[in-house]
Amino acid sequence: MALMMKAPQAARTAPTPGAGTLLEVQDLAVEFHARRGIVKAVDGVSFTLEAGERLAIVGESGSGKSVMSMSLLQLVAHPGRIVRGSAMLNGKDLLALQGKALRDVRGADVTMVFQDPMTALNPVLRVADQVMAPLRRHLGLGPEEARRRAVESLTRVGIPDAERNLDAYPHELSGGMRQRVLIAMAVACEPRLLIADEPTTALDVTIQAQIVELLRGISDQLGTAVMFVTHDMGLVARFAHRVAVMYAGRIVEVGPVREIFANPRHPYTRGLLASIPAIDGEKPERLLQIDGTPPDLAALPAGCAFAARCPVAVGHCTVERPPLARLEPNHSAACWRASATTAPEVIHA
Amino acid sequence: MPDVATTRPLLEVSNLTKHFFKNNGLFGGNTSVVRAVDGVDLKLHRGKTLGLVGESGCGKTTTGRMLVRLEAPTAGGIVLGNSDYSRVTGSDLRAYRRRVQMVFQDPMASLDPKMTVRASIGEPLNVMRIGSRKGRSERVQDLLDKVGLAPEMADRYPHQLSGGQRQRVGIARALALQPDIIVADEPTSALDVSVRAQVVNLLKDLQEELGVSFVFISHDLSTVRYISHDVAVMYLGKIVERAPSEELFRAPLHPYTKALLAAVPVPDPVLEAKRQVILLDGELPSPSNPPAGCRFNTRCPLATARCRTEEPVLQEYAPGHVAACHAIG
Ligand SMILES: Nc1ncnc2c1ncn2[C@@H]1O[C@H](COP(=O)(O)OP(=O)(O)OP(=O)(O)O)[C@@H](O)[C@H]1O
Ligand SMILES: Nc1ncnc2c1ncn2[C@@H]1O[C@H](COP(=O)(O)OP(=O)(O)OP(=O)(O)O)[C@@H](O)[C@H]1O
Ligand code: SF4
Ligand SMILES: [Mg+2]
Ligand SMILES: [Mg+2]
Repeated sequence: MALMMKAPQAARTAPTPGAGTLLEVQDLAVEFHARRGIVKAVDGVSFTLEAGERLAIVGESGSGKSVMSMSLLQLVAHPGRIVRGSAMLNGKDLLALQGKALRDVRGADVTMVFQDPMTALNPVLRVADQVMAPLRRHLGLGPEEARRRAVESLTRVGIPDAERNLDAYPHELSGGMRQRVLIAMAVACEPRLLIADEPTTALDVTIQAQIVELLRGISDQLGTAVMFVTHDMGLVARFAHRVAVMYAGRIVEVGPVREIFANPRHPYTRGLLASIPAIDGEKPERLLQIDGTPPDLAALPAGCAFAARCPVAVGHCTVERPPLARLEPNHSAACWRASATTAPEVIHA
Repeated sequence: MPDVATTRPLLEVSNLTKHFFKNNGLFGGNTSVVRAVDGVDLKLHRGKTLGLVGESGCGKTTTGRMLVRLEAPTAGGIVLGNSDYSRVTGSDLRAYRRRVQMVFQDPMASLDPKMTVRASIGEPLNVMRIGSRKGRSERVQDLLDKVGLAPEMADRYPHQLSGGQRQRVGIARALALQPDIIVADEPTSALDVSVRAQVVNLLKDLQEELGVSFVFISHDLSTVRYISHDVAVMYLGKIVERAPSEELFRAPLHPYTKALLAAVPVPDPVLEAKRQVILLDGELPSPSNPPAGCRFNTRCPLATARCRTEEPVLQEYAPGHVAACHAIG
């Protein structure tokens, strides 16, 4: 079975607010030294983020999205190591901060919502203690004021009966409630940069819509930049200005959201967009999928990491690794055939 | 017409209820009751998939945990084949659990951190002493392959896997005993869309091949629509609507279902930019103090005085399509 992808339409997003560059990540690389070799989980990632800008990170499971996000706050767990790169935020390199300077940035300037809320919350502490801690520490609030703010934050993220749920332990909350507790903690101190790893995966779409509007308000009004990892292309379409697509530890395509959806240039991005089931219309017998598995990050092949699964690969693809090259002023892709694939493309199921 | 209405279901759940009792401690022995699941009826047919969707915190996971008997129901029946398993213990319970397996929402918490992938997937086979040692090892390889994990993953530990890789281990593990029913709690929400497509195709293949039934709990409505034969919508511990999948998505009846479908973000930035998402406002109710009358009345755009006093019951509006709302009609 073959599918014709829709011809791209010429849509462009408005440029993001020109408030200046907030974060500049250069050549970030994170490795795990495992028994079977060096796992290159993040392998030379560069991007920038403006104040108020919302960047979505999408891509293959295991492509390094979480490790990349956590490394920005030096939170990669042992035996992971940041081996190269810098992440400049307001003239400070987040990757070089130490001690008090690092603690001051974490939870205040830069906050994070983790992918796995159960491991991010301390199971033996009540929600109240965890939500109030950053308010007391970074904003210097007294216990009563901190509790009032905590109730307010939980209510804003749609947790019913916030007073009572503040006194609950994490295991007494549903998955989505735990996720919202983390979001409440992350936005309570009004950070400059919010890093959110799949922030709404465990939420139903009515609550998701509410959280998205909350985050939109914060990023529009306070200029908080949001970098969020997601598998939900609908959420990308609704909320992001720009999107970066990761595969095997690298960014393989990056550009404005409309541009990427209308005119994806990397075959992996094309496959990704083609495999989403629709909420209405005809149901196909089978969903389109990209066959095969991603490469072992401890033994990356020569050439393009996607070559073995790529429907349009040519000989050169397995020889030399394609660089992330500019195709349009702010649309780049790492594919030898990116220019050849601008025409409507046939992808095989 | 679905054949569903005519044949006898494989699993039939009636009035399933779970109340958590919490001692507030503050005013000496004052207990509050969390009505997490409050009288749920479900039918699951052999070889079919029942989608379970709804508000975060409405009781889907608790329902799933009761279906696999990880949680004892406060009340209600769970009939599989000819027997009621809602209260069984000992060997009857073990037999039941072998036939009804679960894939969890949170894969990290459900895998033993000290076990390799190979050991995790093989464990149920070992415990039940199924097959020869060699046969088991081949079965593990086969399962790895089925869920799209490369062979070298077999020797890894959970913390060395990505979220999506872990979830695939959970699915392989649940498949190991070839159960009749798999209750899958958000099995694909940690997966990227192309791996998700692989897993969804895989679940469909397994269903065709083995006749296994699924209860598929998810917030991803497009995938639920794609994979389910029937869909039940929950709100605050109750089923508010249940219908054959196509019909539910084409012609939803309950205002909550409608709000849910209207809020689904579509993967099209041009459409999304034009679209005004209507947020449900009004107070989010709590399962420890559910509103009188219809539980959705605090957020419902159609609520009237009657909705605040009289609880609507499930009524059939089309064959197999039931909903509980005073405003339908
Ligand atoms: N402790 C570790 N030892 C070895 N490899 C690891 C370790 N932790 C993570 N990895 C590997 O690093 C890679 C990146 O993992 P990461 O969690 O960042 O993926 P991801 O893109 O967030 O995936 P997902 O979408 O599934 O969450 C994976 O291939 C994973 O197997
Ligand atoms: N052990 C427990 N003690 C007290 N309350 C609990 C317990 N487990 C769950 N609850 C409560 O029961 C309700 C239902 O929780 P459940 O986890 O079943 O929701 P869910 O529908 O799976 O939500 P989500 O979509 O967020 O995963 C919630 O209000 C939750 O706080
Ligand atoms: S019964 Fe009333 S409150 Fe409940 S959903 Fe229907 S209209 Fe809304
Ligand atoms: Mg991740
Ligand atoms: Mg749940």
